[in-house]
Amino acid sequence: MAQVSEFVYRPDDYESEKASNSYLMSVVAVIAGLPLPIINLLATLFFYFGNRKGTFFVRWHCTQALLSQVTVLCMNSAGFAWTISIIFRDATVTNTYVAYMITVVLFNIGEFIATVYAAIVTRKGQHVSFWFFGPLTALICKD
Amino acid sequence: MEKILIQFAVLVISFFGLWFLLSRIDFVDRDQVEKFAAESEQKLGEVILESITLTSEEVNNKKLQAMLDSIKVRLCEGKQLDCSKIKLHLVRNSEVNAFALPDDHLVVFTGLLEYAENAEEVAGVMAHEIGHIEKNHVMKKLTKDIGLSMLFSIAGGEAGGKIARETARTLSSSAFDRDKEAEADAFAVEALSAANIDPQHLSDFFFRLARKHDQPEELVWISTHPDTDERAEKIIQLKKNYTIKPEPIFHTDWKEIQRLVFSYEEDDNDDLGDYDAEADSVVDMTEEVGADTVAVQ
Repeated sequence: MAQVSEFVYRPDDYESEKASNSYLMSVVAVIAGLPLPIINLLATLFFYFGNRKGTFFVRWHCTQALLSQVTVLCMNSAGFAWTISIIFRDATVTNTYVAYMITVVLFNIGEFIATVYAAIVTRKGQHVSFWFFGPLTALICKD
Repeated sequence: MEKILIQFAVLVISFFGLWFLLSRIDFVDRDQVEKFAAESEQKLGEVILESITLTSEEVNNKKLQAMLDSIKVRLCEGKQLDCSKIKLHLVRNSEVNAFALPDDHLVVFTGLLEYAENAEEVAGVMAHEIGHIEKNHVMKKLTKDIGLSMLFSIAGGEAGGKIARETARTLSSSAFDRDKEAEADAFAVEALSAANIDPQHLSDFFFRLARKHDQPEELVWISTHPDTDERAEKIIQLKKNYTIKPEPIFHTDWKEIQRLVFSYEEDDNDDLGDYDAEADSVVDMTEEVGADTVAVQ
């Protein structure tokens, strides 16, 4: 799910801290923003825009954090809209709904663990690449 | 690029695969939930009706009941609905009002019969309320306004008579949302047309209510059914979709039926003082009635 590897150069301590903060930002925002999934995306987005002119290592990890947040946001938003329609409109609780919510919670937990792990590893100056989001970031983020 | 696409596909497949596999598990036992909901709805209907009939007496005049029943049957037969499930109650109250309660109870106030100019207008109002019943608007509204847990405690008799009365008040004097009113109107036009009753009468009834600038307090149905002008026009529009061969509901004069309502009111007015005193004392005892309901279960 997350692979630690060597980056193209050895980042200094300041860069490692910045890159680690991009993950921490989304973790803190998840705690603060629940149950509104848009909050953690906005926090990551602000951090991304604040660091897009930073060094390659910082930009790379900000982008990866942002991309993983967008995916989780889509899943969470659908779950949120579904729940609202059950509470305020005519939709009912079905097996499909419960299964979707469990799936979303499991993916959120997975993403949360990966984010915390990435925050710790990048703080040590190591490079971590997530499944799918890592290669995608490498494609988007060029030196 | 290929690696990204493969990993993306794996991610998507794992998400939907997990969702699909989990959805095979029976988290919500639908049969049990529906059975439980039906039983609770039945008790809820009884408790709310009881709280209404504690303050306003239910009319047991056979002629008047037969008259309302024949309107109900005419409407149900036209639309091929299960007539027996709709429990009709005529309640002595001067308010121009009719409303649906949980478990398919339909309450009509004598004030509506006095205000209506013909049986077709009453049929129009009843068709509208049957629309709320058929579309399950009542339980949806109560669940939204009061909450499911509160409804279960009312049904169980744990919530007490005061809350049951509040629930009755919610249903009798507050509107459904605009979409649900429109849905009930459309149902009414369809049911009336199928029963060969001209929906124009319902439209006229709406117009007449809307024209009343100095509405007396008794005209409750208008306050619970806003935008009457707009809706009356919509009924006329909807009516054009159906071919109707209007046939009168009764061959007797409507005034005769109204005289029956008035005479019933007058008869009862003789001992009205006694009735009210009794009703008041009964209302104070509602908490105990709630406790009895629990005991009955």
